[in-house]
Amino acid sequence: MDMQFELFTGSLLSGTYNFLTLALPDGWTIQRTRMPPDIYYMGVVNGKRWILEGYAAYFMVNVVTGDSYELAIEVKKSSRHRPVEAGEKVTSFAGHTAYLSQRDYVRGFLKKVKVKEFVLRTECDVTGRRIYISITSPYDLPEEVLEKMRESSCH
Amino acid sequence: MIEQSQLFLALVILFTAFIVFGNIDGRKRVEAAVLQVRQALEKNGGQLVSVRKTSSAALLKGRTLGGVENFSVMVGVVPRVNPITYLAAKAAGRKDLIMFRGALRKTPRRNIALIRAGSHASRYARRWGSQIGEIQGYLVCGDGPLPPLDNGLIDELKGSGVQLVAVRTELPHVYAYIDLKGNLTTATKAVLEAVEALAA
Repeated sequence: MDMQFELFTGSLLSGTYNFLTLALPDGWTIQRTRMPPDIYYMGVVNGKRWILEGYAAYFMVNVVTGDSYELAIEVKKSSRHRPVEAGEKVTSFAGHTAYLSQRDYVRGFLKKVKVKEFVLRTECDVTGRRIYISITSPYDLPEEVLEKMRESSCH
Repeated sequence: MIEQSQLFLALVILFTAFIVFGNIDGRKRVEAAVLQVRQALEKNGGQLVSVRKTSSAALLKGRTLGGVENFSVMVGVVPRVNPITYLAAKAAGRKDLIMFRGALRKTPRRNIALIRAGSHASRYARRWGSQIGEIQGYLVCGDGPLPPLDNGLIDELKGSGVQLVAVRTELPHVYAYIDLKGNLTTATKAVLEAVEALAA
């Protein structure tokens, strides 16, 4: 059984607008952070309301092990002049070609923690958006999560 | 007569002392609780993978504990860092508690929970199911018809500090809340037996 999480935001005045719908395996959930999303442009494509430029941060949590991953979603308008940066691995996301890259780095002031960051970049030609999904955590990200994320939807 | 500035200074010193000693005390209490939990899990055949500790909580992760395939144990102690929040937590009935979550090899066929009547968890019994019954001081909550339960099982739960034990059809399949003051080895054994009975 898979889980679908609609990542959206909005206000009483403007209504709700979507970033994307993220698919995760059973036993995973998305939690809000204290950081409110930043939205710069919104639009309607094929009758659905999308965030065309903005940023949001969430936590992606494994409800069995309690492991928590920082999830950041950034969307930008597509640019014809600058192609999406390639990654180490070519995969797919919501039916589009996606590039996945991974890096390890150390963060923290006194207590240094080694974290792993996965960045998935893709371009949705239907909504004209460039989507960046970054997952950061000291823990390994199970392959099944990346596999299930391919079934997400962005248009 | 104490001046206002002296009173302010005294409060600053008092709160700083609480922060410093609350942190040291919290770390000691968490350390002691983790040791207790570790021993209880290992005595019941649990394999721990990792332990993370802070001054008010610890998260232990493990593999295989009886019929449970993957599990985590969250140990939470009431922090004494801030006297106001400490008193508020105590007034709200918060206790040092262990929250056990796990995945079973075989998905349970129903949602069912046993909750100690009068406990903090019993206030939210409705969350665990629309049908609520009671057996020997334990609320039985589920969505469908409640299965007959062995009295011995309830006695064993009662004797240990188990506040709640639940099995669900969704992950995490197993939930258990255990009072940190009880005998954790007995409580872990009672939880595993209850899970086996409820998931059957």
